[in-house]
Amino acid sequence: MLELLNIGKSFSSQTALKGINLSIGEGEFFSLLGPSGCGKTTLLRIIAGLESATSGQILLDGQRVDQLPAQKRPFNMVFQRYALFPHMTVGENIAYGLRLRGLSKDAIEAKIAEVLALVDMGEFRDRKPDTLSGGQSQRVAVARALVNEPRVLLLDEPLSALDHKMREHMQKELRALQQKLGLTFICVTHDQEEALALSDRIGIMSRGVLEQVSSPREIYENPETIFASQFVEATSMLRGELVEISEDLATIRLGDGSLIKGKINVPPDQIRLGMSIEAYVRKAMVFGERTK
Amino acid sequence: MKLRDLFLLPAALWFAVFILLPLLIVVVVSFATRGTYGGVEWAWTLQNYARAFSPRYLGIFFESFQLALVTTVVCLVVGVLISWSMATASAKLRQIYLMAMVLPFLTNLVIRIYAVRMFVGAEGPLQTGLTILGVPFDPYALTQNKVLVLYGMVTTYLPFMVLPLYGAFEKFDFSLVEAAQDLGAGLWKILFSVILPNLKTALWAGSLLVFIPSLGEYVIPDLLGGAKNMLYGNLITEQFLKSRDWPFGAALSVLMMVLLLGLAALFRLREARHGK
Repeated sequence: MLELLNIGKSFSSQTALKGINLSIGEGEFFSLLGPSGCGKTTLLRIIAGLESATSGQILLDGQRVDQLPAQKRPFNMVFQRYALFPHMTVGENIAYGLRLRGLSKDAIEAKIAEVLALVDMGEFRDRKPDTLSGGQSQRVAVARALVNEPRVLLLDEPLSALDHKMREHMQKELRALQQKLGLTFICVTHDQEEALALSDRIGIMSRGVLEQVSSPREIYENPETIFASQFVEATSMLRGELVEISEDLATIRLGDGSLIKGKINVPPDQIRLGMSIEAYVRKAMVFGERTK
Repeated sequence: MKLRDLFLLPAALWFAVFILLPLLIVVVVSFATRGTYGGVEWAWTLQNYARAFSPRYLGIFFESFQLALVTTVVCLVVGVLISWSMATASAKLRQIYLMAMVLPFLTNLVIRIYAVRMFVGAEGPLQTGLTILGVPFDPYALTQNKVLVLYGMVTTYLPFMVLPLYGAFEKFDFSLVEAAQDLGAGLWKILFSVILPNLKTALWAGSLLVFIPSLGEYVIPDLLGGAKNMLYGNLITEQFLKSRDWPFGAALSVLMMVLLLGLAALFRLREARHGK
C-alpha cells in the first residue's frame, strides 16, 4: 500500500500542492484527474522522486520512501512523451534499468523477450525509437518501466500524445495489462473519459488540492465538491426540462432550446411533464471494462 | 540563373580569387626549389615534402599536435559542464552567461594575452599578492609556463566548443535524464550513457572548431610560454619570413591543410553514416 501523508509543495512564491493525503491499495488503478496546472503532474513527480515535496511523507507498506532518491525507489515511470533513448534500440532501452542492476546477460535477454511479448512488440526489438509509431513507442515505454518489476507504475498523461482511435485502443490494453499483472498503477490525466474508463478510483485535483477521491461511478453520480461536479459535468451531464414522454423514451428540452431523447430511469410515479431533469451522456467506456 | 544564386556570386568570386587561387599557388610553390638567395626556382621536386617528414620537423609537428589535443580535451570537458549548466539555467541567467562567453571576443586576442601577462608579470597582482603573503616563487617560471599557455589556449578557444554544445543542449530532451534517473542511473552514468551520446554531433563539431585553429596557433604559446618550443605555426612563419624558404613553408602548409581537411572530411563522413 502506498500512502501519501500531508504532501505539500511550494515553489518560491506559489503553493503547488496543499496537504495531500491519499492511500492507494495494492493492485489498484488510481487516476489523478484535473485541469492542467492543478498540481497532478507535480504530485506524480514527487512520488517518483523527480521532485521533492516541501512537506509530508510517502510510505510504501509503512516504510518511508520519500528520503530515497528517484534511482532507489521501487517505482517506475512512463513519461508523457515516452522519453525513449533515441540512440538505443528498443531492446537496449528496455535493458537499461536491468544492466544498472547488474543482471547477467542471459537474465536480461530473457526478461527483454518476456516483456516485449507482454506488450506484443517482440519483432521490434532491434528497431530505433524514431522508427516507431506513437502506439508502439507507448508500449516500449511501458515495457521499459515494467521490466524492472516496480511496486508501482507511474504514468504521466500516457495516452495524450496518441490520436483518438489509438488512445481508445491503448486504454483497453493498459487496463488489461494492469489487471493481468495485478500491479498498482497511478495515472495522471486531464481526460475525464480516460480516467472514468480506466480507473478503480479517481482523485480529482484542483489548484493543488485533492478535492475528491472515489470510484468513477461515485464521482459521476454524486460529485462531492462543486469543483468535482463541474469537472464531470463539463462534457457529460446536461440539465433540462422534461417535455414529452412515451413508453420509457423521454424528450428533454435543454437550456438552449435543443431537444434530446433518451431512456429515463425515474420511477413512473415521480414523472411530471415540465420537471427539471438531469441527463447523463453515457458511453460504453464510461464505467470501465469491469462493469460491462 | 535564379536571383538568389546571383546574390551568392560576389561571395563565390571572392572565394575563388582570394582563397582558392592563393591556395593553388601555395600548392604549386610547394613543389618548387628554393633559390640561392631566397625566392622560388621552378625546378620541380618532392624534396620539400621529404624534408617535412624528417625527425626534427616531425617533432615540432607532434609538439603542436599535443598542444592542440590537450587544448581540445580540456575545452571538451569544461565546455560540456559549462554548456550543461547554461542550458539548464533560467532564461535571464542564460543571457548573462552567453554574453559573458562572447564578451572576450570583442577585445583583441593580443591585448587579452598581454592582460594575462600583466596579471602574472613583475609587480602584477599575482606576484604582489604572493610577496605580501610571503610565499616564495620563481618569477621567471611564474610568468612563462605550460599552464599559462594552456590557460590562454583554452580561454581563447572555449567559445568555439561551448556555442555548438549549448545549441545542442538547448534542444536536448531533458526528460531522457529523468527517465534514466527513474531507471536507476546515477549522475555520471547519465552523462555518459544518455547525454553525451545524444550530443555526439555537437561534440565533434566543437572539437574540430577548437582543434583546427589550435594546431596552427603560435601567438599564445610565444607570449605566455616564452617561445621556448617551436610550434608548427612558428615553423611555417619562419620559412616565409626568416629563412626565406617559400617552397618548404608551402609544403608544410599543404601538409597541415591536408591533415585538417582530412579530419573535417572524416567528420562529414561520420555524419553521413549516422545521420538520417
